[in-house]
Parts: sequence; structure tokens; C-alpha cells
Amino acid sequence: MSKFQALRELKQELHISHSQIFVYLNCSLKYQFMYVEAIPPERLAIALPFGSAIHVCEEKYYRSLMDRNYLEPLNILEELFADYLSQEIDNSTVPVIYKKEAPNKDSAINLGKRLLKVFYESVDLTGMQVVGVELPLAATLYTSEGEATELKLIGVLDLLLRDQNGELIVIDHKTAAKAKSQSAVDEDMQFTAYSYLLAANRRVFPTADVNCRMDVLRKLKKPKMEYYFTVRTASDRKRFAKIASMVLTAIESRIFMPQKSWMCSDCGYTDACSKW
Amino acid sequence: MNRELLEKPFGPEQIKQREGNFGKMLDYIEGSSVIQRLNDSFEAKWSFEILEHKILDNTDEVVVLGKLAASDIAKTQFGSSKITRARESGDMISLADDFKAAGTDALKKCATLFGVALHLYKSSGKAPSLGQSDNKNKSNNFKRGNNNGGNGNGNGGDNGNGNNRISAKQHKYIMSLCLERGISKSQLNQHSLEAYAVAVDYLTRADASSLIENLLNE
Repeated sequence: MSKFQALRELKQELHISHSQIFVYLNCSLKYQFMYVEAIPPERLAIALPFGSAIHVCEEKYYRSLMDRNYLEPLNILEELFADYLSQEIDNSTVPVIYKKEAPNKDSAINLGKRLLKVFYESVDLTGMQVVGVELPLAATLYTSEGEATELKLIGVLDLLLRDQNGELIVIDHKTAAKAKSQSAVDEDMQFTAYSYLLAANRRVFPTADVNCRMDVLRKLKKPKMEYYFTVRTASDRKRFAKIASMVLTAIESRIFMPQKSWMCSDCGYTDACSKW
Repeated sequence: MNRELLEKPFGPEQIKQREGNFGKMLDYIEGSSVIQRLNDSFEAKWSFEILEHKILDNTDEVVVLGKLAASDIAKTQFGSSKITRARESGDMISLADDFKAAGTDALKKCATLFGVALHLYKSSGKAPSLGQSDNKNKSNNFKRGNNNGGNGNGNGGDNGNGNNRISAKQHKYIMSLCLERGISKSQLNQHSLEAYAVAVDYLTRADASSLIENLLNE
């Protein structure tokens, strides 16, 4: 099952996802436009389809390895990337906003292929077992006081590995122009959400630490892969539950307001925001 | 008899809500509030007795006929309660508790005939639920919703979903109705946006009830 199919099924229930929490915390007005009012975006930042296209290729690579023990050739992944990205751009009903590292469709495809080559050459699964690819998980969201809410937390883990010691490692794939700071990775709530889902689904013990790794493909002239390691504890999960509950309360209370930040430049709701 | 006091509307803090059939929200008054009202109105000089009781096998419920008497006037009404059974074995848990719940239901119905909580019928134009709440539906004792919904305690309400947003039960029922009728999630959302200006996941409970009615009438 692909990530999109998995998400479609999970979304049949009343739910909240890390992405939704992330959007709310960064700009609650965007959350209102995007989820509550389901307004179609006015423009499409290239980073979105670009990241999705890379994701689709990484998924194919690991899934073939897990299901068939088959190593997909690089050229197949490159073709997949080019087809996927072209389709997303061509089918977009709104203007696509390009960035300086890839100012048009062809350069975006070229950059993507160079990134895939780096990804392909840097994958090292020595001593690792692939446990899950695009693993869909759902769990009842509990408050920090241990009370069950009516909403499910849903999420799809990019990749789940098991190391030689039998420990699970959550892998999240990213593409980024800038390097990540270790503190940003340590505070990344997506990992905490995944760790919550793993604990709730008894993939790890309730009090266990969960090892996480962010694999970042840097969109540079000379692309490179960077790995960031971090850990999520039971205490992190408890704090996450508290934040998620507060976000739900705020959404329920219809608290939506704009939040100016560096993310505004890529936002698909600039006009709606101005009119607010 | 102090009729003015008998018919005096209950305050918002005394009006509870629970989910009825098809996700509808029903207002109700707890038995203790009704008893307090009767005590105040009749200076505790009232009596209540069960005239008949029955177990209905076909509907798996108990029914009682109750009689409330005060100031030389008596009112009789039926009350009922579903039989509570163990989830695993299906065995009855306590038939006595089921009869007590049916008795409370009957008392509250009788009290309505004296004018207690009549305003609930008048204001909503629908039958409020006065019964089966005290003993059997504690988990459904949702607080009365308001426009803001949030209760400010940090857990989003009684069930963590706040007290105004569509419930998981309503959501599930809407999804199953759509599945039966071949309506996709995006079509459903489109309809919800046109009718209520929000996607289906963000409907209020009242709007979710209305959407359910629309779907059932399709």
C-alpha cells in the first residue's frame, strides 16, 4: 500500500496528524484555510511536489528491497522522479513557484536526479533489517493526564529499521537547501508523533526510548546526504500528547490567526491571508 | 403546590446533553435535579411508586409504570432502560440497576406532567431526553455546548474532543452512510463546505446531526 492509500484509509476516522499539528502551531490561519475550510491553495511551491517525488522514489527503493530483496536500478528511480514531478507540475491548476536552486521544471528534474544519485550511493543498510516502508499507524490520542480523546493520531512512517541489537530506528526522509541544526532535530515533533504511534501500537515498550534518524538530502550545487540522530523518550511523548490536546482545544474553540514567519514565502494562501 | 417553581426553567449548568440515535444530541435533566425540584415545590410532600414492571425480551429492556403523587394529584408514566450486559459474555450485570434506571426515567416523565422541565420541549421544538442518563450514560454526560466549545482545561472537553465538535460516533455514522450511498469523502466534504462552510471533520455536533438527517432522507 502506498503512502497516499494508507493515509486515505487512516483519514476515514476522526483524526489529527503531525502535519496538521505542525501547520496549526506555525500558522493557525493556514490551518483554517487548509483543513477547516478546505480552500484550494492559490499557488504551489515547487518544494512540495519536489519533496514528494523524491519521497516516492525512496519508497520504491526500500519497498523493493524489503518485499523482493531487489535493488532498483538508479535510472528507474530517475525516470520515476521525472515522470512524477512532471505530472504534478503539469496537472497543477495553480501557478508553480520555483526557487533559485531550481528555477524551472527542467532544472528541478535535473536537481532531483542529482539528489537521487547521492541517495542511491549513500544508502548503507549494513546490519539493518527493513521492518516497514511507509508504515501507516493510528492510535487513540490520550491527554497527558491519560484520558482518551475521541480523535486518532495518525501517521505514516517513512522507514522503520531494526539494528543488530534488535532496536528499532525511525527514519524520516527530508530534502532541504539548508543544513539542519541538531537542536531542531531534537525538537522535531514529527519524530515524537511517530514514537507515540510506535509505543501505542506496542512496537516498543511504553517507557522505551525510540531511536530516530533524519536523512536529509541537501539541495546544493553539489548535493549531499546528511544524517541526524536523535532519541524520543516517554516524557517527550507525554509532552506531545499535551501539545496535541491543546491544539485540539484551540481548533475546537476556532482560534485561528496569522503567524508571520519565513514559511510565508512558500505559503499557498497569501491572498486569503491578506484578505483576512 | 408551587406551580411557578415547578415550571421554572433549569439553568444551563443543570441541562446535560447526551447522544441519542443517529448522533442527535438530546438535552436532559439529571434525576437528582428533578427530585430537588419536587422537594422544593412540594416541600418534600410527594410520593412515587412503581405500579408495574416488566422485562421485554424482544427489545432487551425493562419497562416500569410509575406513579407520582403530590397535593392530591397523581400522574403516571412509563420509564424504560436497556438491560446492561457484559460485553464478552452477554450476561446481565445487574437487573436491579436497570430497574432503578427505568424507575428514575418514569419519575422524570411523571414530573414533566407536573410541569418540570417543560421549557426544554418549548425551546427546542423536539423531545428532550429526561431519562436513562443518571445510572446508565455517565460517559455521555456531555456538557452543554457553546459557540466556543473549548472548556479551557487543556484536554479539550469531557471526551478530549471538546464539547462542540462532531463526535467520533457521528463521524463514523456519516462515513458509513456515505459508503452505503456511494458518496466519496471529497463529495461529502464539498457538500459540507457548501452547507456548513467547513469540512466534515470540523462540523459542530448540531450540524453533524443535521447532515445525518439529510443523508438519511436521501
